[in-house]
Amino acid sequence: MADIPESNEERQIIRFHVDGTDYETHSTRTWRARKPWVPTDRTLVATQIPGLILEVLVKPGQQVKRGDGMVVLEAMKMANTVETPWDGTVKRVVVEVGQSVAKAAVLVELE
Amino acid sequence: MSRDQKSQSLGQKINDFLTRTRKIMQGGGEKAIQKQQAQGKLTARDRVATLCDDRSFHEYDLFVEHNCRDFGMDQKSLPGDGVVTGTGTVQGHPVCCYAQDFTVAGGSLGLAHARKITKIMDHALKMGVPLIGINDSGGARIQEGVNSLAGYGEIFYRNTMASGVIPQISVILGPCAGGAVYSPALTDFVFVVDKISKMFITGPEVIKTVLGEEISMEDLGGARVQAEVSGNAHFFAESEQECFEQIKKLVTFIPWNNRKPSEPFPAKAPRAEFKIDQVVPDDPRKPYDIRDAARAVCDDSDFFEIQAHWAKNIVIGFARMDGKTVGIVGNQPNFLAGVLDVDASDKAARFIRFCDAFDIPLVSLVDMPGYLPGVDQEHAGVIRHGAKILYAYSEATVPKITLILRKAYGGGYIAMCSRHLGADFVFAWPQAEIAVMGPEGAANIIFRKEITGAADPEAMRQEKIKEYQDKFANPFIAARDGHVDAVIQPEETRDFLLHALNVSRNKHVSRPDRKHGIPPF
Repeated sequence: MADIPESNEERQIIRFHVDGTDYETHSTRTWRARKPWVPTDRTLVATQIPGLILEVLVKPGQQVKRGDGMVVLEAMKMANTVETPWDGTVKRVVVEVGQSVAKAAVLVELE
Repeated sequence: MSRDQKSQSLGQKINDFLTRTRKIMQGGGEKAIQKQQAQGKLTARDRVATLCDDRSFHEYDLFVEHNCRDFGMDQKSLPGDGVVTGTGTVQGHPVCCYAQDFTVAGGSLGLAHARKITKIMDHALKMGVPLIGINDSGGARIQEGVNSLAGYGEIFYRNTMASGVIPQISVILGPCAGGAVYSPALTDFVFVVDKISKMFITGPEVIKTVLGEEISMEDLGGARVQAEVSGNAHFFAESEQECFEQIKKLVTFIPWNNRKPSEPFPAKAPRAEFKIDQVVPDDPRKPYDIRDAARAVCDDSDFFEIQAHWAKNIVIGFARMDGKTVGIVGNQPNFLAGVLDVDASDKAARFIRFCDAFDIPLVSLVDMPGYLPGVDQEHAGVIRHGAKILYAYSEATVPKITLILRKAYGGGYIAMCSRHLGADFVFAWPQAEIAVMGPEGAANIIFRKEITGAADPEAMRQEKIKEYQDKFANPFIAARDGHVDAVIQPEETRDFLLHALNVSRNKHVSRPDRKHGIPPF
C-alpha cells in the first residue's frame, strides 16, 4: 500500500497503487474539490435548511433525548421543529431568537 | 435375488442418501456455524426456515457441486456450493428463496452457486411468485476467475427481466460487497439489519489506498448508512427476527405477480385515535406528521412505511382501503417543511413505478411549499432528479387519487400528481392553498412598483400580501378551472377516497405504442 494521492497540480495528474498496479490518471475538478469524510460529531445539532430562529426550546444543562425539539426554525413557509438526532445534555445554545441561520449551521452543542 | 436381500439394499441406499444429506446440511461444519452464530447471525437454512411458514420450505439442488479445477479446487468439496435454494410459503403466499451460506467458503459466489440462484429465479418468474434473496457472501470466488463474474451477470440479467413482473426482495444479512451489491440494487425492496449488513462497492482498504481516508466498514456501508444516508435500503431492523417480521408484513401487501391483484383483507375503519381534522393543524405554518393523516384515512390505521429513515420529507408506504392495497405518497411537513428535493423525488418515483407495475392504486397526500431552493440542490441535479417524480406519476396508469390538504405551490403542485399529470380525482380541503408561489413571494413580484413607490413600503407590502392571500391562497381558483374536482371537508376525506378508488377499479388507459419510455434515470 503506497501513500497517495500524490498530485501534480500543474498537470493535474494523480498516481496511486492498488493491488500491485500503479495507476496514473488525470483528476477532475470535482475530485480535487471533494470534501474528505469526517466522522459525524454527535455533540452538534445543526439545521438542514437556512431559516429564522423563532423559538429556543432548550436550556444549558438540560437532558435531551433523540427526537426532542431543540429550536423552532422558520423556513419554507413553515415553523419547523429541529430535533436532536442524539441523546445528551445541552452544553450551549449557539443561536438566539430572531437570528437568521445558514444551512448546516450549528444550533446547539451537547455533551 | 431374494425379496429380503432386495429390501436390505434399498435400506442401505436410503442410509447412504441420509448420510450424504446430513453432511451437506451441516454446511461449513460446526466451527464455522459457531462463528456465524457468535455474530448474532442465523445459518442460511435457519434463516429460510424462520422466514417461511412452519415446515413449508423445501430445498432443491442440495447435491450441486462446482467443477472448478484450478488452485486445488478439484480437491475441495463445498456443500451445496455455498447457497441454499428452494420454495416455501410466507403468510400462505408461495415464494422462491435463496440464502447464501457464509459458513461454506464465506458464501463466495462461483458459477455453480450462481446457477442455483438463477435456476430458482427462473422458477419464480415462470411460477409468477415473489423472489426473496438472502445475501451473506464474501464476494466472488476468486479461484473461479471470470466464471464467478459470469455468475453475477446472469443474476443481474434475471433481476432486470423479472423487474415489474414479480416482486423481488433482497435481504442483506452479512457482507454484500463489490459487484454483488448490484443484485439488491436491481430489486424492489432491500432489507438491512443493524451491525450485520454491510454493503459497498469498494471496501475501506481500497478507499484508504486511493483517497488516504480511513473509515470503518460500519461507517462506510453499515445498515444505518444504507437506511439513513444512501437510501439503498428500504427497511431497517435491529435483529434478524425483526427483519423477517417486516418481510412477512410486506408480503401481505404486494401481489404475487403483475397479473394478479394483492390479497384482499376484510375492510376495517380507521382507529378512533386518528381523526383527520385533529391531525392536521389549521395554521399552514404549523408542522404535523403526515403519516397520522394517512393513518386517519386507511383501514385499521395500518400504514406500512417504506424507506422511513431516508429522505424523510416525503413519506411512502402501503396501506389498505376497503381491504385492498393502496400505495400512499405524502409530503411530510414535519421534516424540511415537506419540500421536494433530489432524494425525495428519487424515493417517490421508484415507489410510484412499483405501484404502477403491480396495479396498486396511488393515493397522494399533498402539503408542501415546493422544490427546495439552494446551490447544493441545483448542483446535485434537482432538475434531472426532480423530473423523475413527474415522469413516474405521468406514466402511471393505475388509479391516481390526489388530496391537497394545505399547501400546493409552484412546480411541487404540478409534481404531486396534479390533474395535469393524469390524476383521476383531485380533492382539496377548504384551507388548501393552490398557487404558483407563496403569497409573500408573489406579492413582491406582482406589486413591486406599488410597494417600492409607497410612502410606507412595508405596510404596502403587507397589504398586498394579504390581498394576494385572500384572492389566490385557496382551492377555489383551481376548482373554478376544473383542476380540482371537489372541495371537500376534512371529515369527508375517507368517504371520497374510498368512493374514488371504488369507481376507478376498472380504469383503462391506452398509451402510444413504444418499446419503452426514457425516464430521467
